[in-house]
Amino acid sequence: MLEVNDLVAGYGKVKVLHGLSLKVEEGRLVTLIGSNGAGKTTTLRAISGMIAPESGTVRLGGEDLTGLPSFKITKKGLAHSPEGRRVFPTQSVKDNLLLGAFPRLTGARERGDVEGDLDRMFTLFPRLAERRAQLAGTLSGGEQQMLAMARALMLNPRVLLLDEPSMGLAPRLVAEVFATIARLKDEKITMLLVEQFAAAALEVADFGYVLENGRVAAKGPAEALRNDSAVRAAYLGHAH
Amino acid sequence: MLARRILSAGGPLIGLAILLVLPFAVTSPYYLHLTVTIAIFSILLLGLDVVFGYTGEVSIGHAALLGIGAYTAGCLAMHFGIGFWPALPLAIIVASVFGVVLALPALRVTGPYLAMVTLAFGTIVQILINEMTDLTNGPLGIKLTTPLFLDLRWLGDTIPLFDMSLKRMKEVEYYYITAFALVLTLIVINRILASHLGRAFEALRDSPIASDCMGVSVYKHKVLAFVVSAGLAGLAGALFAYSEQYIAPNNFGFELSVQFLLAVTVGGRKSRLGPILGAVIIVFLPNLLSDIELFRYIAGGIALIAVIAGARAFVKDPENRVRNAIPVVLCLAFFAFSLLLQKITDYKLAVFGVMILFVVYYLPEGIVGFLKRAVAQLWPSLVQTHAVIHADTHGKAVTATHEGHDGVLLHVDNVVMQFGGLRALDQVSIEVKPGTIHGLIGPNGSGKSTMMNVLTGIYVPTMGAVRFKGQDMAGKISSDIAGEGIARTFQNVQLFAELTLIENVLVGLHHTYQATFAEVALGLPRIRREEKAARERAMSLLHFVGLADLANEEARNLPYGKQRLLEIARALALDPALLLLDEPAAGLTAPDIKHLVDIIKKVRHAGLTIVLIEHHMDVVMGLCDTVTVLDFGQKIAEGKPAQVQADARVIEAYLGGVATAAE
Repeated sequence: MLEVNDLVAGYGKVKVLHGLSLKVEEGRLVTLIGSNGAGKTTTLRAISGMIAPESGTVRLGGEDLTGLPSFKITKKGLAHSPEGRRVFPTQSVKDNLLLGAFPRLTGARERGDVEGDLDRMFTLFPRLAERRAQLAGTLSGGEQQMLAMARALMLNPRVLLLDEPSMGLAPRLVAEVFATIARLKDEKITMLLVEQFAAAALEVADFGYVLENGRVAAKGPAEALRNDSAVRAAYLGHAH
Repeated sequence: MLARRILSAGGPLIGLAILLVLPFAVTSPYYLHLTVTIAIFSILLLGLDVVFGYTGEVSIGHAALLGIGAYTAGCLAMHFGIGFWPALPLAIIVASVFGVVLALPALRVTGPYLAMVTLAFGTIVQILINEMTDLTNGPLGIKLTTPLFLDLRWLGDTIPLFDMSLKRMKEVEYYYITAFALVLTLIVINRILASHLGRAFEALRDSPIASDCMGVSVYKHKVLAFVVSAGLAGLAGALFAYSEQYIAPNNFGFELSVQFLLAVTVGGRKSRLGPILGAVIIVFLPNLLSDIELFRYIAGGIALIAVIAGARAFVKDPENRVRNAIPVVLCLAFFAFSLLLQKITDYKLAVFGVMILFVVYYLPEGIVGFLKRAVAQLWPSLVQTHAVIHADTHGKAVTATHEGHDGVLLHVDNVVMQFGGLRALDQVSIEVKPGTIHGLIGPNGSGKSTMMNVLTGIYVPTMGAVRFKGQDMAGKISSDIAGEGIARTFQNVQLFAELTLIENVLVGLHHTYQATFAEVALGLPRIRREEKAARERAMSLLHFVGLADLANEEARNLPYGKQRLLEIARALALDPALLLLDEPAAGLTAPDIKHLVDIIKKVRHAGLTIVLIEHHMDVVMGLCDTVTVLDFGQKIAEGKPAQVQADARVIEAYLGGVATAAE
């Protein structure tokens, strides 16, 4: 579904990715792990067009997306739930969700049933239903994270990019976020997940890539990576 | 290497040489007068750049400040017969006072709102000058005569290039006076902006909250920036009055303020050459455009440069050929237009406007910014690399004074923080013992960050007291609390994005500078000594957190995890007794968390007391001596980590079923 080949990207003079390739198959959950500065967030940003890649290609369902601006990429059906949540703080929860569906109203893809999807989100995230009229900026951190994910899902995405969904959340909420991700996986939503909790990410994912200095250092089925002694030592830390 | 050294020393020398010989080259009194105007506007624009480029505020009131300087000189001459030389310092002083007036609203509003306030300021000043007829002679204006200071007419025969008529002599002499003032301005501005004051200006632009929490008072430095800027505008005003020999209220209107902003933008912000280039453009270009031949040459030159740059881009960047071709086509069309045009006078201003728009659109960093980038690309070796600074290895990077305060360093007593109907903190009491790590945990929205903001003076608690080292902290402003020895990091990283790593830490070291403004301006030994010591100390702090290799990188280019470490280094620069860490491990992966834990341990070992907010339970449990748990603004548990971890209410509210859910 999503195919990245030889991606080179960075910020100004600083190159972060040096020829990165990865593949996400339909209906699968793939995770990127690696230390800070390895290029995980940059990879997601280059895929969704928030930064322009210097070279390499990004393909979604065979269609070349490389170099397109992010609003066009979103219209093709690629949703990005960014690091740090970035909800629209002065708009209501419901309006935030409707904005997530905005590209469907103008893009070439099918518009579908926006109202129905809104109800679906409120079933999937009951907390958001309770707070639908509240301003997003007044939600707690965990609720904002749920909203960011739901907003991305309102696109009816062919692929969903999730950047650090558990960052800054209390342990109880971290468990909740991972439960939600597992539920989305059961619904066969194609996802690319970047997570600080590498162990938990590999627990829920089908396949994993280990990034080091902007390159893929290792890849394999999540279970194999989980049992790989080198990966355990370097990324899973003190194994609990 | 050698080429670079020659260039860095040679640049100013070449500039000086040009200033010296210019009157010999420009023989027309008209053009010489324009050159004088350029020098005067350059002085003002260098000052405007302090506010616009460095503190990031837009002022549309600088023409009025120029007017205040000019009218100070004019009124002194008209009413008191006070001449040129005393008028210069007096104009600086009067304009500086008005600079304070302009800075006061800047403390409450920023961005477009401040721009509107400065616009109103400019309009009011202009109206006042017009109406206060007794003082200013109203719309009739004031006439001044340029005195002749040195009679050089006896030289008449020996230097044939000088036309020794009285008018020409005055103009040449006045040129040298303004050129001297410009050089002096350049030197002083350079020193201020390279010092801790310049860094403070930039810090308050990038993050006012972090500036205050680093002990750099936003209030003080914003006023200072406006005063420096206004003082230079005053100097320029007095020079302007004697250069024009006639001033009237409509000389100092809104259009001129806008032209000043354009000049700095087009020339290039945050540089010395940029404002001067900007002055040349706004003074010379409209005049040069009167000459159709010259205009055609200029348009042709621009088109030639555009074609060369376009050809380069065509080869190097094949993907964006269409987009890159647009400016080239526009430049060629402009050249064609210049050839077709028979008389330019009617179109002069329109053409000028189009050229400015074009530059602002395609060169957002201004001409100087564009040239810098071009040079860096073509000859990377010429770009100034930063001097290697050795870390101060003699002293310890992190030190703390360890005094007993009845066994309690920080005492939070029944603090209530009320926001409208919401009680973010509800009668919370915490005691932090010196030398310990005190954990603060709780669900999102339970009031942890609110507590941090109360402790650092960002919020004033509705009720209750905060005592630090036995002293009452309530009602103190952030920068004073930072001075008392409480440093912090921020949950949502608050670095000074456009400053380099070492400069970020240097802002934290602001408190180590004793040098006064005058010492900075004069470049006296003390400021040099302090700067050197601070740089060494900053390096050793970067070394301490493992970022020394990246010292000259801009902070915004750092990955997230490293930004958090830089925040810690910057906070440590305050030499605090108490360090508040707000979710330092958020977004960090397991190995980086290990590195962070090691750093926190070293900090504690150095004798600092730490309050730690964190969601990673292994970090909290592994480091903390005592843990306080908040929920809905109330303290629900407190004690040793193991105790808290086993508490039923904590598991229910925060940890969830599995205590180690967070790995």
